[in-house]
Amino acid sequence: MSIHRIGKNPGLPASTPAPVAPTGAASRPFSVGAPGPGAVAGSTATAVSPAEQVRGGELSLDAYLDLRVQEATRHLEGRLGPGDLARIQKTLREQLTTDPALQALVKGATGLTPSVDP
Amino acid sequence: MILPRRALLLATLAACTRKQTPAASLAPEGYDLLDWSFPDSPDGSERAVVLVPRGAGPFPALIALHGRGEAVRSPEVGAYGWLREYQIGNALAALRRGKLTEGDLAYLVTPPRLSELNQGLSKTPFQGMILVFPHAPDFPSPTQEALTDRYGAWLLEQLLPKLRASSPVASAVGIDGVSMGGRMALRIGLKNPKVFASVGSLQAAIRAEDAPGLAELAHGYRQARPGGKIRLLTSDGDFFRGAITQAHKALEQASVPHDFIEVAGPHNYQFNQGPGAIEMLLWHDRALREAG
Repeated sequence: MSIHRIGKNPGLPASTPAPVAPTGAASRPFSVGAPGPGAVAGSTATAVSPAEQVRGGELSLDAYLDLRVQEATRHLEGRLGPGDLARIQKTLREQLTTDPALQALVKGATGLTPSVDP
Repeated sequence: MILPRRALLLATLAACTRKQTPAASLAPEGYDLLDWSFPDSPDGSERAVVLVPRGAGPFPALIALHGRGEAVRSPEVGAYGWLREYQIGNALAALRRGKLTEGDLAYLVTPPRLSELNQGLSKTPFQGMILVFPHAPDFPSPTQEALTDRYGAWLLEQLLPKLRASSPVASAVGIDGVSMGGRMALRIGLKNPKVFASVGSLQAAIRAEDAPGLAELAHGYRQARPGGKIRLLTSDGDFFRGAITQAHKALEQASVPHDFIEVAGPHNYQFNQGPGAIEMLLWHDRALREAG
């Protein structure tokens, strides 16, 4: 086992913030490297985002908001019951059309301001 | 490690001469600041400050929890804790420059560690992420774990959906925190492997007897998310150094891969303003991008 106590063991590789040595078969020290193929930067470079689809008239603002709500709560699927999940989704959907700060963010992304249906 | 008296004096002076900054001017260069209130949160009126990098994204996101000093004051003080009290804007600026100085780390760094950080930055530049600073309440001991779980549910069910619906968040989200916030981040992060790709803590306020329970949570986290990253950070002047070292040993005994690091510095605001902020940002920047 190697524990990195700063100032006492300066010989570790430059890009690894003191990994702990593996101790078992399942152990694999986390090594910091260049972003992999799944890394965020550039991962959607060729895809047309939903916001761009709204700007291009291919997707309605309502459909965009529904999509954002679905994506925003995906991590709750399986964690919450259908009723609780639906309640959170409904609240979030309302916030997107009534909260000025969120409206501004949606407008910044899509060019359109969401509002409550008259 | 004993730091030179001059370095400690300089760091103390620097901290004492900083004044309260208006919220509007706190957004670091290249970031937009959002200030959200949650009047329907279970613990009362919660508040969160969000820094969103300018650009199309998507960006990974890090939820960073503050310590008890801010928790006992107000949701507003807590939400702005990392910006005002811990001055994370300075750390962001230093990391974006790509070369750190002793001053960037509040003079709480050894030459070998400074060199190591700079070599790492040179090889893998800091890219940045969405930063989320929610107020974290101070929960009393007898019901601390249950209340932390309730707070974690608020993070997952109200804060994170709002963030994901309104900002260009990539799939990778991390959680970290300092002292009290570090203890909370470990519990919330390790209990929610589906959500958090990286779980870290700075000088987490844990007790030695918490170590087996943390190892069990960490084991479950890695079982559910084999690529998930875990880190425990302490320092040579940290009150919780012994307990954190115990937790590290417990994780090691349970064969849970993780990073453990002991750096220089005390358990105080200067640490948060220097090595705390920089170590946290740098580790998650790399961990989250590796997680994808």
